Parts: sequence; C-alpha cells; structure tokens
Amino acid sequence: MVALMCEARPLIDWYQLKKCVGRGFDLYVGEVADVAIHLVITGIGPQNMTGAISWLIGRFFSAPECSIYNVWLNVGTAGHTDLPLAMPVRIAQCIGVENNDEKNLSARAHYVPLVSPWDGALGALQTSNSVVESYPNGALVDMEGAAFFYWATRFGPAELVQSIKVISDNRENSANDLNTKKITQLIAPNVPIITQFADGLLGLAQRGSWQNAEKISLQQLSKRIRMTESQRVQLNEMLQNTINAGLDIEFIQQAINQTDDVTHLITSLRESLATCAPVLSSLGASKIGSNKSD
Amino acid sequence: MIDTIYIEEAVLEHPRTQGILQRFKRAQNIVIARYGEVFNSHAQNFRLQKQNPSLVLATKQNKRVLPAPAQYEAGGGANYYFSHMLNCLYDCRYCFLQGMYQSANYLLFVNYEDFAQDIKELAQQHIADAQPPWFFSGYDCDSLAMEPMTGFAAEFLNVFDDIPDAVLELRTKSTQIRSLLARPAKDNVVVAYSLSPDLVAQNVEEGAPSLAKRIEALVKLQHAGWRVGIRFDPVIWHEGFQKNYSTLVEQVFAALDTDKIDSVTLGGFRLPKGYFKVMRKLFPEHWIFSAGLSESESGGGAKMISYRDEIEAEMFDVIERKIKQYFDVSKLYIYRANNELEDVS
Repeated sequence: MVALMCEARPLIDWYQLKKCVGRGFDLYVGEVADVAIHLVITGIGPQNMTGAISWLIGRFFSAPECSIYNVWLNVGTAGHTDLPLAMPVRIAQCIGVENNDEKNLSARAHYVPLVSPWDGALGALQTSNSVVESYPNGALVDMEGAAFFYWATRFGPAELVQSIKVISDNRENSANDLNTKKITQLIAPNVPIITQFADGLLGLAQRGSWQNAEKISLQQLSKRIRMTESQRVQLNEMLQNTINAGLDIEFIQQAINQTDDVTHLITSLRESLATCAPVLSSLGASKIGSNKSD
Repeated sequence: MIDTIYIEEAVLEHPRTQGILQRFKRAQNIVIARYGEVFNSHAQNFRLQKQNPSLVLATKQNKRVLPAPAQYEAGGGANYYFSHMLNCLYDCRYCFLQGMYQSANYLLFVNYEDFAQDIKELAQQHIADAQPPWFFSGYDCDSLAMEPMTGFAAEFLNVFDDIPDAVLELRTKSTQIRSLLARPAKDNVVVAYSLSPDLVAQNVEEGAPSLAKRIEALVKLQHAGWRVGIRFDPVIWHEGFQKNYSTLVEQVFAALDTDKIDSVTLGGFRLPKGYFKVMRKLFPEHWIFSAGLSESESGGGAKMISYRDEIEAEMFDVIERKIKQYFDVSKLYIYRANNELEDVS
C-alpha cells in the first residue's frame, strides 16, 4: 500500500508490475516466486488508505477460503526532526493524532510485532490527518500509517502488517521542497532492503499457512451432494481431522464416493476419529527441527 | 536470541532490568507504559510470533500468587501457583498457553521481591497446617528454561530459605540446572520434570531437551540430593502408546533411585474449550487436535476438551500398572480430565 505514484514507481520497476485496468484505485500486479503481488496507489491521507484497503479486500480477499496469511506492507515517506534524508525506518509503534493536537490521540498506540528480521532502524510513527508544521518529539510523522495498521490488522495477523518509511524531510530539509522526482530518488536506493524485508515477511507468512489437503475431495462432493453451509463447515473440519490423524486417504475417498447422505458421512468420519489413534512418525524430529538442549 | 525488548517505564531502572539489558546489548529497546499495550494487543498470531518472540519486561502489580486449580496437587496441603513469566522457550503443541495468550512474546515480571513478599505472607497463614503449603512455579512458563537470563531459581531458592515450612515446586523440561547444582540441596524444593516418550517429544515438544537429557538432569539432581518429581502430563494418545509409555516408565525408574522420588503424577490432555478452538485454528493441520477428543463439563461448569473417557482410562490404566511395578502408589497422583484428583493409594 503506497500513497503516491512517485513513491511506488521504484517498486513497480523492481517487481516489473503491470497496471491492472479497472475502477477504484490504481492497482499494479505481478508475481514473484509464485507469490502474487498487488500494489495499490492509495492516495494521501487516512481516508484514502482506509478506502484502498477495503477495496482491495473486497476485490481479491473476501472469500472464506482465502488465507489470512497475507503480507500487508506500507511503503512511503515520512518526516522526522533529525534523521537523515533517505534513511529507511521500520515502524515499531504507531499512533494517530487528530487535528495536529498531540493531546488529541485518536487511539492508543499500536505496537507492531517485530518478528521478521530487519537490520535497519526502528521508529515510532505519529499519523496526522492533516499536514503537520512541526515534527513530534522523537517520532516520524506521516498521514496514512495509523489507518493502514488499524484496517490491515482487521484482515490478517499483525505480524504480517508492516510499514517501512523513508525519511523525506527534517529540520534542515523542508517538506515544502519535495517534488515527485525527489521522492522517487529517496525511495529508489532503498528498494533492495525493502524487498528483502518483504521476502522475509513472505517466508514468515508461509510458516502460518497449511495445505488444505481435503479440499479437492470436498469440492467433488459439493458438486454431487447438496449440503448446508453448516454441514460444509463440519465436513471440512472432519475431513481435515481424518487426514491429520493419518487415516487412510483411500478409506476417506471411498466413504465419500459411497454416500449421498452428508449427515451419515460426518457421523461415520466422527466415529472413525474417535477410535483411530494418530500414527506418529519418528521423522517428527526432522520435520520440526532438532531438539535443543537448554 | 532476543532481538527486541519492550520495557515498562516503571521498571527501567530496576536492577534486574538493567542486568538483562546488559545481557542483550544488541537488542532494540522500546519503552512502553504498560505491558498490556504489547502483550494484549489485538490481531497477534501466536504461531507466527513464536518464530521470533520478543522479551517484555514488566511489573506484576497484583494477583501474583493464586490458588492452584483443584486438581493440582503433589503432596502438599494448600496449593498455590505463581508465574514470574508468561510464555515459554519451548513450543509444545499441546500447551494451553497457545490458546490462552494472543502473544508468544516472553513476558517477564522483574519484581521478584513482591512475589516473594506475597509468598511469605501466604506461607505464614498456613504455618499451623498439617501439611506444608505448596507453591507451584512453571504453570505459565518453564521454571528453568531461561534461568541464565532470569535468575529466577537462584533468587527464589533464597526466598524459600526463609520459609522452610513451605514447598516450592519448579516444573520444567529444561536442563538448566547449574544454579541448583551449585548449592546444597534444599528440603523444601522439588524439581519436577514433565516427561513424554521420545516419539511424542520429537513430534510435539519442539525445542525442548530430549527425553534422555531430561532424565540425565534428573539423575544429576537426585545425586546432588535434590527432591525430584516426575510428571507424565499430558499423556498423549497415539498408536503404540502402550509400548511407548511402558518404555518411558522403565527408562525413568531404571535411571533414578525410586525410593527418593518425591512424587509421580499422571495427567490427561485437557483444555478449556475456548483455548482448544484457538489452538486448532492456529494449527488446523495438527493431529493432536484431531482424534479421540470429546467435550465435557468441568465441576465449575466450564466446557473442556479432553480425550474420551474410555481412551483416557485405558491409557492411565496401562501407565499406572507399569508405575506400580516400581513405585509406592501413595506418592502417585492422577489428574483425570473431569478435574477430580484420584487417590490411588
């Protein structure tokens, strides 16, 4: 999620993203190592950020079967009293401020879980809903961060909702002197470190994902037999459990093929699970990593 | 390795905080007002956070020492538990902490002196009791796993010097026993090890020391004169459990001086239903949440998930019979999932 085209341009070039024609927000799409990338130009300010997140969710990620383990990365520029221009800062804490009044905090601070690696600086971000004339004490300042964290964490784990801000102005270099070309020049040299960070986040996301192995069976069954949503959820859970417990796939497939009665199938699988002890593999150790000796 | 340390402003100058910050000089430090801002923040994912937990240093302001759950007993009179730390170095798939907390960060309460004061006051209340009050540590964390950082055991052994009529139980899977071996054994401290068959440990106790290393630590402690306890808890149902648990019992009792074992407990896999649902959502692919389970109501009316009665009964029967071949049953305690402690003596 990037506020301005001039901030996004270096990332679009790096990932070789293509513009996706449509209504709403400017969207650039691409793929890296089988992972889909959606880059949205949100526009400036919290309302635009809020709208862009809702729009993206509605367009691509609202189906129940969509994984929640998606990476949300906000890249942009921010001001700070004395940090040097072009310095990338990972946001560790964010708070919204109404009408530039530091006493008028819109919500309590959001602390960003810092799970994936980052070798650079960490910083606190203060988001204002209008242009700020002075820099808050010790914090970076922008106009979208708080809305980004607030809404993106509604749709995925906070560990995967992250923001990198590049310093665009400070006490010595006024924001008034910025233009689109300068902003692109500030972002561009940081693209390698930003994309490396994004790779780390994608790796982390994969640690949360899992293969829904029974999906095909369930899809086949759904085409053949009518079932309620509640039955579908129950059956889905039951099929996953049978596979987890190590029940023979052929047995499961046979049970599915032989029935036209979903209730009966659920009962039959439940009974099997009640008496079938899980089969543990001695390979467990290599799957889960060797035991430490602490 | 700790990359990030959140520090409550109130404990910034605490000597224990300073010591820990010295230990992790390269960590990024972030000052916070109250630990809840970080630890209880919404949308955290335990599974992801467990990949690289941060450390939170805070003060525990109240409810530091609590009555232990009804079934928690190992030979004492009044039973209490306390947690100087929330969350654990290890990543055991059956652990209720995954369902209880949103955060996998290590939350360390550095105000040990307040815990000590509360424990001493409670011990005083039970001074005339027939049996000593028992204080369990290691309910919300492993008591010893992070000892080099926390210095918890070293500190609380001194505390229990002052209250010889109270017992401290250190529940652990860790081999960090240097601070214990470095001093004379204490009569009122029990070091209790949670043990599982090797195959179970390999599958569901990620990061924990192997069974062999835990037994080795138990032997060292016993040789040094420490009271040791054995906790077969939770017992995990799997194909071949009869053989695997029998072998485990044989291994343990062959290695230790059986007469000097303080107590043995046996407990089933049991969780509040709410925690179970969170854990299954975090690990939908894991077999441990998939088979042999049923829902029941605890004495207090809370919904619990545990193994079906007949499964648990069969497992306990096999293990209990094996234990009885070696061990005095008056010191064997069985925690059944229905929350009733069975006296097998």
